[in-house]
Amino acid sequence: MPTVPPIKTSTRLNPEPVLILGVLYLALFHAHNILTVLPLPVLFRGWKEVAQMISIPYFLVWAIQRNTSTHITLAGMYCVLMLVAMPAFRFDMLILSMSGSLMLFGHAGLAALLVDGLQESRARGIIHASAAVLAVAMIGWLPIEEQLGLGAMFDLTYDTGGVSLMLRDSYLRARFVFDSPLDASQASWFLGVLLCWLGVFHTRSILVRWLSIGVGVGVLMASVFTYTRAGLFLALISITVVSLLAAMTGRRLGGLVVGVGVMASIGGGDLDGFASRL
Amino acid sequence: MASPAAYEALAGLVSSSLDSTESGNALRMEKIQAGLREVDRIPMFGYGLDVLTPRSGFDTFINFENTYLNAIGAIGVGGYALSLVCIVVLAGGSFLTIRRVLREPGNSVLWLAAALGPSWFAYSMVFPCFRGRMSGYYMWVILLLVLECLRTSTVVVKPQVIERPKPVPRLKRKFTG
Repeated sequence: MPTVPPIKTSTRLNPEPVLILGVLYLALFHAHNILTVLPLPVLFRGWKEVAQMISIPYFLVWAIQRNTSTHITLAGMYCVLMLVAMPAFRFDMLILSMSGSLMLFGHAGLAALLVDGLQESRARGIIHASAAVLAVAMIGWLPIEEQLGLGAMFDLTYDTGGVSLMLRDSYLRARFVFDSPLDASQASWFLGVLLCWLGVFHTRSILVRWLSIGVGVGVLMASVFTYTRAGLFLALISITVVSLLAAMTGRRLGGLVVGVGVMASIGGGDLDGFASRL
Repeated sequence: MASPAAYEALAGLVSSSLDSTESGNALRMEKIQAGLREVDRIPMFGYGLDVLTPRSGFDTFINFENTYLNAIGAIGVGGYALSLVCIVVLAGGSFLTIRRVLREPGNSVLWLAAALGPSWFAYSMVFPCFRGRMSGYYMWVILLLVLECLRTSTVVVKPQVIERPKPVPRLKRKFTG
């Protein structure tokens, strides 16, 4: 009589609780951006820190889930470094110490999300496109990023009549942006879009999928109703709409959603400017 | 062919970036030198994580315009360890990635890691990457990207010998009808 082989069960952890937390938080944040009358508690005012706090458990879950020696080594090293930094934590200045700690250690989770995206792109055969848009995101936004935006930069060129000043000015702006403490929204925005992507394409839960789509729409609306980088946002909007439609109709167009993340990371500074005025 | 105006613009950009007498560059160099002079006076566990953020105020917050000096100043021994990890991964990993990208020029992610690693390493020497959130985020992204490229480079895919299925021998049937 033929015997049935035992079914192998997966020992991987489920990252969905972290996804749900992240998506819920970002949904609230974007709702807050759009409907500024919402009486949200103080916790949600510190959205940058919360976004970073979400990324830390994601990183640890990511490492355990991958369960390869490199990831475990990396997570172990990360934990050891955080522990070594603990003596420098001053409990009499709790918030500032937490902020400093998050600056040092808070972003590995976002990086893990990005590496996830690259692996997914490789599996889908769109790795070259993803690498290209990532390169554009990380390098290309430098000369165009600042509060004055693209339009002002071209106005400057027009007024002064020189390419030299434009290049020099954009370079100085890029330097300023990296020094600026008001740049957290780009990371948070990027986290939001990547969470949406993971939520839409990776989850089996209908709740998380629709929450992710909801947050995507929230991001879209926030980008429309905040600042005025029209060209950039038109591109962002069109890609977002196509991606969400593709996600809802069941087509797997992960590359486009990676593109949304990249575009969003370019334009994310606007949300911060908006939030700082609240 | 590049126009003379564009060439002048680019040449001016590079020369001003490397000009040590320019006010911004001179100030940056002064701060880095001040950090180097102070590094032996930093306590074992640093001045505290709270001094890393600009929100602690201009009196207390440290800025040596160098990623590693800032980390050492804030958390002391931990800062040395963190700096060591970052330097080894960024510099060593980038070198290995560049060496590999020359062998596999078709891999775009390798190109990206090979471009970002060394450039970010140079950038981290004159900017405090763990002070701003965005640059802190990029730091971890690039570290993980380089590590990921190194990890995939260690995977050796053995050529698999695919055996052809043996032809099923035909059964000789006997017509018994």
